Amino acid sequence: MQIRSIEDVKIGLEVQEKFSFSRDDIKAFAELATDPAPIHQNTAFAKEQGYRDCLVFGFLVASKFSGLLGSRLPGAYTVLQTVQWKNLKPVYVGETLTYTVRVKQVAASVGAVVLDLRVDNDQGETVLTGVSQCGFRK
Amino acid sequence: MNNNQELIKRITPIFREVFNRADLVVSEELNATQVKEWDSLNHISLIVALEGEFGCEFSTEELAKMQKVGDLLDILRTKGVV
Repeated sequence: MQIRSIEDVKIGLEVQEKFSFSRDDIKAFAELATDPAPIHQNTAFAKEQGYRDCLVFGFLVASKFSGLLGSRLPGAYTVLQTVQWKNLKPVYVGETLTYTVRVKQVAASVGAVVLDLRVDNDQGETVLTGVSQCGFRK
Repeated sequence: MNNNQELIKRITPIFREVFNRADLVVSEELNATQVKEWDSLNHISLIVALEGEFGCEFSTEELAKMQKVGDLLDILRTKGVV
């Protein structure tokens, strides 16, 4: 369903998408973010720190919501106004993640939508939660 | 404590959170011109947060009437959510 206005958005509306990050994704993000921290690219270092493999950047995990919010729910007729999130558990390279965006609140008078954000790993653990507010242009 | 004071006590954390001003003193006379952080984007966030707190929706007409906090309190009262 194409969302064109706030009247198209209902509480409880939800989209999901599966995704996993590759080592190339991490390398590209490290260069973009100028963050060479070895825990993201050096497996031996990550294991020394007690992790089973390299960790995906927390900012990179959250970045997938840019596409979900901007192209699916609430979609291309909105802009991001606020976002908050918590990284709850480590995310590893190659792990299958399920992203969920769900409409929590619709504030029609100001054209804004509040959405719950969640990422679960393939163990069924929630690794990220957040809240975003997006607005339609009037 | 009168009803308005109780309401102001309830909305003060919302105003402080939205405007990122831990020292903000909310009164019935407070309006957007007195808070430099009260811009159009934060106004949207304020309305969203208030609707979430009180479980209500404001109409555009009600928004237009909100010139100061006292107006907001009056509208909340007429909506029967407080």
